Amino acid sequence: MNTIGEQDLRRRLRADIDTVRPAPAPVGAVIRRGRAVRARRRAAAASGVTAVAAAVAMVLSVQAGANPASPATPAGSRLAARSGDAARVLDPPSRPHGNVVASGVIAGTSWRLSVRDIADPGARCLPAIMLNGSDADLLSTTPGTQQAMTDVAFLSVVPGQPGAGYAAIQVAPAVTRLVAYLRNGTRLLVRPVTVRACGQRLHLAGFGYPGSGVARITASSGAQFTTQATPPASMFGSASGTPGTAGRLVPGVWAHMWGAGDVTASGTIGSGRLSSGSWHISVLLGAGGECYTAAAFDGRVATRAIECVPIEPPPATASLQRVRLAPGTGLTGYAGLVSPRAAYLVASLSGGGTTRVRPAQIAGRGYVALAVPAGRALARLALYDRSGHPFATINPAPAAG
Amino acid sequence: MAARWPGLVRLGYGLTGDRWLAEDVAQAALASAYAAWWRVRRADDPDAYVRRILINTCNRRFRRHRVAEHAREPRELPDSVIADPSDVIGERSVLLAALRELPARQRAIVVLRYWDDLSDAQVAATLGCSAGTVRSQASRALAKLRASTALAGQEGSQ
Repeated sequence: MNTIGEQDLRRRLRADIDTVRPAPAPVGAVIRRGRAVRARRRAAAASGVTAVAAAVAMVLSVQAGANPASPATPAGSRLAARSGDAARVLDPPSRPHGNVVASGVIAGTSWRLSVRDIADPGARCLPAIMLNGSDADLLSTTPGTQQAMTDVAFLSVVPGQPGAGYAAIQVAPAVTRLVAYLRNGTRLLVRPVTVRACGQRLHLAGFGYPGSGVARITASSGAQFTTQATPPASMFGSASGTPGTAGRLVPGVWAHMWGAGDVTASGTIGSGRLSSGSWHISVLLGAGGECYTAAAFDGRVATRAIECVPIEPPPATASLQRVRLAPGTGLTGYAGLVSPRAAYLVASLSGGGTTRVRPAQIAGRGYVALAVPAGRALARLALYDRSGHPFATINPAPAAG
Repeated sequence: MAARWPGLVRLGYGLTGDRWLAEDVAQAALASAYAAWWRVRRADDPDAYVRRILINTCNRRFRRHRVAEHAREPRELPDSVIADPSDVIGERSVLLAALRELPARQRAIVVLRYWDDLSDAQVAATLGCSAGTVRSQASRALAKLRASTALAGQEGSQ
């Protein structure tokens, strides 16, 4: 047992904590993040008020002996029987196959939303809904049952598919149908399906829509109105805008109505020392996509940058991307996902010299990160399996400029 | 905001032991305060209110990450191109490592009471408990720190 006393504890805490020299206050980032929080709270409050109002209306109509179905939430058959109102019924396949949630054709291009495990084989399961096997969005295996719609996400900027967007909704087991009111006046009746993933039964619905977006979605159980969600117009903008701003949509990354900042897993995937400081790169996997945070401290100034990319399944070789790493240090950072088969990688630098990098396991996926000193470039990346045999070689594209 | 930022980051560092995570939770806390500014402004002690947001943010992160991965220990980190790759970014002190072993509330009480020099009443107001609870929890936290093998080992090596 040690003999630490109150004064000693006070002195040692100050010695440890007061030495931290924070980066300048990120005023702009705080304001953007604060506005996003406020918008989410308002959206949640609006849906709650609507649900209460609907419940009151339903009670009144039952008391009056009227049909409890609200005009705002037409039953599926009525919706489908109307002609000329641009209503369409999207029924799931009678026998869902291969964990398909929904499929269809938009502007001559077929699409499919399906669920799969995107962790490495043998690692813990990580279920995600994917568009045509790409651009994944993580799913919760323990969604709450108190809300009719536990997660509503939109993929509005799809690489190679201008003018098309997709919605994925995780619903409570009691929800039997959803109605999506599109901004172009079309209404879609969508029936949820149950798929098994990671030993869980997930209740999901999905649909495609034209680029104009979705005005609101109602979820109901039987003939009873349950709740509705009204996504803000900013969720259906374009990818243009200032990089890093809160309202910017990243191509291939799903935008969530709630819990946009939720992180499923995170961890450091690479780090090193500078002459008078240090750098490190970490990954955050969550509702905002796959985000790489690069931080460096050169002894005087701490810098930090974050880049988010779509979540993809493990690659056959490696998928690295350049990350901004402390402009003043001259370092070039690389980070990304590697094949489950890779036990280690050997990076060759221009001008000679190699370095060995081992993947870090985050959420059952293998990630690597490395930094290349000023004046040199990553020339080649060789991947080796557990037996030490090389099985793939990558020649990264030369840096622009 | 700029004036409060260093103090909030340091408080976050005391609670998490990770300076990068500390900056993130400080930013999240200030963003939450911005989102509900009218509520912060109406509070008797706005600083205490923001501190409480930060502590709650830390606790939520820890709960969320309990089953997730944490930053690896130095020996497990991947190699780096830069020399001396075995060093980690933030050198965590033995004391901060021992603090992380404490329950969230006791850790917050230790940091607020002994680093921030808040009175028991101020700590109680920040955490939403009584001053008596602060005293008893601080006493328990000190006892745990005294029993910490990590701290004992460090003393032995000095």
